[in-house]
Parts: sequence; structure tokens; C-alpha cells
Amino acid sequence: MSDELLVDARGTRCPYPVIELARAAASSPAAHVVLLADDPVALTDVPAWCRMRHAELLRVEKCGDHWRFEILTRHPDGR
Amino acid sequence: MRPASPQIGQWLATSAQRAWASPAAGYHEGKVSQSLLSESAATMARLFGAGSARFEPSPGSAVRSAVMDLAASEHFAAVATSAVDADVVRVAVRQCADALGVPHTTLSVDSEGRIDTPSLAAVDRPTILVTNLGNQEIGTLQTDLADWATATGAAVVLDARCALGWTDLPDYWDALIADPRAWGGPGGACAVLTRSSAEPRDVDTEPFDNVPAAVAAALSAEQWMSVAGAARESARAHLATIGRRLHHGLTGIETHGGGPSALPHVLSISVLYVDAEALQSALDKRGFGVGSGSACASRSGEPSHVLAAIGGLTSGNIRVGLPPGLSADTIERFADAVIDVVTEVREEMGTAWL
Repeated sequence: MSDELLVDARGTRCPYPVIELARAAASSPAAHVVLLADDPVALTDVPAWCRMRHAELLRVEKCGDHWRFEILTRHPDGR
Repeated sequence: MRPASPQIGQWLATSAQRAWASPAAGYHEGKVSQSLLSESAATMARLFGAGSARFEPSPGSAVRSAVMDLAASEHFAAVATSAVDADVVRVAVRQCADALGVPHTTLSVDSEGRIDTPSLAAVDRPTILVTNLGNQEIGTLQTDLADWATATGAAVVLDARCALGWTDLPDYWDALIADPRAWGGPGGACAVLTRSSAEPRDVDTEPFDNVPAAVAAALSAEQWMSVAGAARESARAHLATIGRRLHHGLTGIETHGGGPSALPHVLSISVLYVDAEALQSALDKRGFGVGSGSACASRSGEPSHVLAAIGGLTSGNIRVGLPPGLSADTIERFADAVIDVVTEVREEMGTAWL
């Protein structure tokens, strides 16, 4: 996917994975964000951020020592 | 927990003079101690509508005593807690499970932190359930367990530490756990309040003997229960004011607590893009002591399991328990302080624009 933005927040702890995600979402036109995080707190806080920010958490995968979150930060209809 | 009652020093000093002897001592002063201990237990039982009461040195020992005593009088095949009970309760129940050789199950909760119907329906054997009456972090009042307990033959031990006085007691419990520190009373004299007036069967190997703490516990409970009814309404209004001010003054905020089916004095506040430890210490400098459910502000490095269980935001979290008697002015100052401190921390962290 060409408009996919990769945010690598590995090595950062709460609240930084969510801050990195929000910074990326605010500064990029890409609607798809892939976030890599190894802080287990992200498993709770990324879904909470998506709910609070009306984003959609498409998928969470465990990849070895970290998790990969796939997020649709804006709705395709432009909301 | 709240600041100690102004009378606590006097209560402890007076009873320490009168009850210096162990209640087990076989001379006059021992009998004085024993009689003060019994009177204090009777006061606790009367105040909370229990058949009898006894004291334990800590919340954990109170939970263990309540569970082991129920298990000594009747056969139970499992013990259970919910996903949002306090750590001290979950640890104590796990210890009981090990001691009894029965499984310890964890019941799941809905998005507000009440034990959910499917997990109650899945309980298929006589169980001792230990759970909170009002949640210690988000204030949610427990679902009514009366029909479930009757249908399944379960015994219910309620961790009522945060709730006593703040809400009417339901009638489905077999035992209640109380901690006088919740109402400004002393530490070291938690109470197990039992529905039945029978003597405990599981007799502790080390009898409770901190009689001054027990006397102060009962006196502080009397004082608290005489004003608790009036405190409820003003706390509920204060909590609503705080919630309204914060939602109006801050973006990226969610709160849990307040409302008709929650304790009137407990509020959990989570804000995006801030470090909870920074919030907590900045509020402390302004004279406001708040808890936190964020990983960075906890000793264990783990986020609040309560917030995680309800899908709440765990970062940037502070939690508030309002003591009674606060003025409207203090509430406004607190709301101003939270808004200022969040704004300042976001500026320092470079996240204000998000």
C-alpha cells in the first residue's frame, strides 16, 4: 500500500507509543498507519486512542518481541 | 483513603491507656481490653447491619479470614474474583484457593466494570465470590448478585472498603470487608462483617490484639456514618462539577465515575499525551493528592488492570476520591489545577498541538 505510514515506537514506554502514533496521524496525509510498539501498555492504549479519536484499529499482531498495530486514522469518507 | 479524622489522636491515646493489655491476658486489664474489643466489634456490626463483626490487621487478612471461615462451614468447590477487584483482594483470594485446593476463577466485566451476565452464567459449582461493592478506581457499583447467589448456592464476600456510607448496602452478601482508613479512621483494624451471628469456625492462629485501633475504628465509623448520608449528595454534585469543567476545558480526555449507578466520590480521569507521573507530582505541589492507574506512575510498572479490563485509556491517568466536607471553592480550584497542569505538561512534552 503506497499511502501506508510506518511508525516505529519500539523502545518507547507509555505514553510515547500513543504520542508517536498521534504525531504521525496529524502530520501525514496517509490514512493507514502501521505502528510498531514493544510496550505492553500499547495493547490497552492504542485501542483506547482509536476509540477517542474516531480511528479504526484494523488489526493487532504479535511479531516476536513487539506488536504491530494497523490503524485507519481517517474514515475513507473524509470524516 | 482520606485524611485522618481530627479526633483520631485522642481516640487512640485514650484507648491505648485503657487497653494496654492483651485481650487474652488473664487479669483485670486483659478483661478490660477484651471487653473494649467486643464492644467495638458490636458497634461495627450494628452500624452496618451485620450479625457479627471481627477485626483483622489488614485488608488481605480480612479477606482471607472471611473466605476461610465460609469454607470451614460449608463445602465450596471454587473461589472467584472479578477482573476489576483490588490487587490486595485478588492476591488474598489466590492464597485461599491454594490453601483450600480449589480453583480461583476470574469473572469478566462489562465496559463499566460490572461482572457480566455470561461470566455469572458460566459459574457451575458452589463458589465463594469475593468482589467489590463499589469499584475503588472507577466507582462503578456492582451488579445485583442476589438471584445469582441464590440460584448457584454461591457465597458473596463484598469488598466494601470504598463504598461503606457512600451507598446503601444491598442484602445479598455473606460477609463485608471494611477498612476504617477509608473514612479517616485508623490503619491496622480492618473489619470482617458477617451476615450470620455465628462465631467464626476458622479460628485464626494469632488472635487480633490491637485493641486501641479497634476502638478508634468503631468510633470513627460512628462519626462517619452519622454524616455519610449528607455527604453523598454534595460529593455527587462536586464530581459532576469536576467532570463538566474538565470536559469543557481539555481535549483528549475521558472520565470514568459519577452517575446514578456509581459511588458519588470516585472519579478516574485519563488524558491523552501526558505523563501521569508529571501530572501527579504537579498536583501534589499544589496540595492535591491523587492516585494514578498509569504504568509510569505505579510501583509495579504495570497499568491499572481496572482500566485495562474496561478498555479505558491507562496513560495520563489520575484518580480522585473526594473526602466529605469539601467546599465548592476547593472543587473549582481543583478543576482549575488539573486543567493548568495538563496544559503545562503537554507544553513541556511538545504534545499541546496534537
